[in-house]
Amino acid sequence: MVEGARKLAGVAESGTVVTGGPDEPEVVAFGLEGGEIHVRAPDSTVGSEIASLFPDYRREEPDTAACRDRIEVEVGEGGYRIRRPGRGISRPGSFGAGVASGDRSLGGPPRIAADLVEMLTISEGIVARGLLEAASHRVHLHAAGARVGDGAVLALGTRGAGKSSLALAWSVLGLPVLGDDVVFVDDDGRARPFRRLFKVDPGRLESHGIDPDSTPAWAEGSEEAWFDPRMAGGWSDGPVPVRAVVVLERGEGFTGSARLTPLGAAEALNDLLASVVWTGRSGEASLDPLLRLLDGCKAYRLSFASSARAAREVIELMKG
Amino acid sequence: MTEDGRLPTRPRVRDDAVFRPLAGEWVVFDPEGRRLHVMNLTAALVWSFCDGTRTRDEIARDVREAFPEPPDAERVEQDVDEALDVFREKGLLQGSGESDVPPPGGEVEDGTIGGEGDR
Repeated sequence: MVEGARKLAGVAESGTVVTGGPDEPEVVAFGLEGGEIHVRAPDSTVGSEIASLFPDYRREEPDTAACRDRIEVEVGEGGYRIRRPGRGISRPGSFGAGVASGDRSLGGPPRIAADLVEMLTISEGIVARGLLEAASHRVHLHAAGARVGDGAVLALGTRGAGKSSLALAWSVLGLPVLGDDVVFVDDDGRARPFRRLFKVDPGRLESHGIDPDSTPAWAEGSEEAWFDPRMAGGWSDGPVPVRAVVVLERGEGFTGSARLTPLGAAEALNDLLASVVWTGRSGEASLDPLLRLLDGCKAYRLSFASSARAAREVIELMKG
Repeated sequence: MTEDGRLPTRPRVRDDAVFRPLAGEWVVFDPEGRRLHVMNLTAALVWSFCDGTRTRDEIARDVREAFPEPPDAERVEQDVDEALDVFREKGLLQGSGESDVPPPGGEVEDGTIGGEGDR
């Protein structure tokens, strides 16, 4: 028996998961740009939880020919084991049965997760990376973004600068978002979303009036919650031209309204290049798309203390 | 580069460095060092003439003739020398050695590469 104080779809409120029951293992498939990542879950209940993490990339019918990465989740002593039996094309029916012809080396020793939430966190990360690699022909920016009117605003910054908080605030204000971690940029410089659920502090959700218990795969006491933008402003349909880039600076001791300081084009380009993620195009291959992105776009450095205030300031800037 | 570290007779910029106009200036992205360099008009002209076929004097001549009202020749030569020195120091010329250890992200150089020939 695996216990844990968490809510599962279709599971008794006591929070107990019965393993080894009549449920058969099931394969949950996710796909992007023609590539798929398949996750074999120990039962349909766990499968549903995994499926809830990437609802926009779910594929109802797994296509083994399109599978570029596989994950196996098993229940065992100590919790869950997450294995990657090997990349490459699977033979039909060969899932987990061995190394298919053309597979590269096995994915290393299994990772052990003590509970369901930890397993979902590990699995979500592996699937996210697989989806990004399936879209490696695009520019990947470490950025948050939202659509305001007919244009987009992108927020750049290092980890902890406040991208997720800003993205959450935009979503709660009703804006369609492009993401809180990675945003794609097309060859023509337009932005499109990477639909990965936001990872946010549950306290921050509550400050926006959102009950963490209503979020996917929530477990009482968790330090982070997954927020689905469809609960608020939804996802932006891509692609959309970028009208503003803001580079975040979280101000220690900074109070009052957010401060927006204009940035020169070269500075903005420099920050954009520094935000290019290795899962997509290289820096030099990203240069021209980023130059096109900057064409007709304004750039600012944004200092703020409150993400809610900053989100509104940026919206006013875009509308002005 | 010559063995004694001087500029080659006919300097040439690196083939992998990406040169583009940007908002009234010019930028060069060094993919090896992951650095972004900003240039003014003079440096951009020097860059464009640094194709391995021209001597330093020929580069200076062509830069000067690129202006509608050619500036002072001596001033142009100084600017060209300065730009070539910077290109060499930043590892932007073919055979100009290892780039500096790159920072974690890209970096805009302090100041702009280029002299005053275009003012």
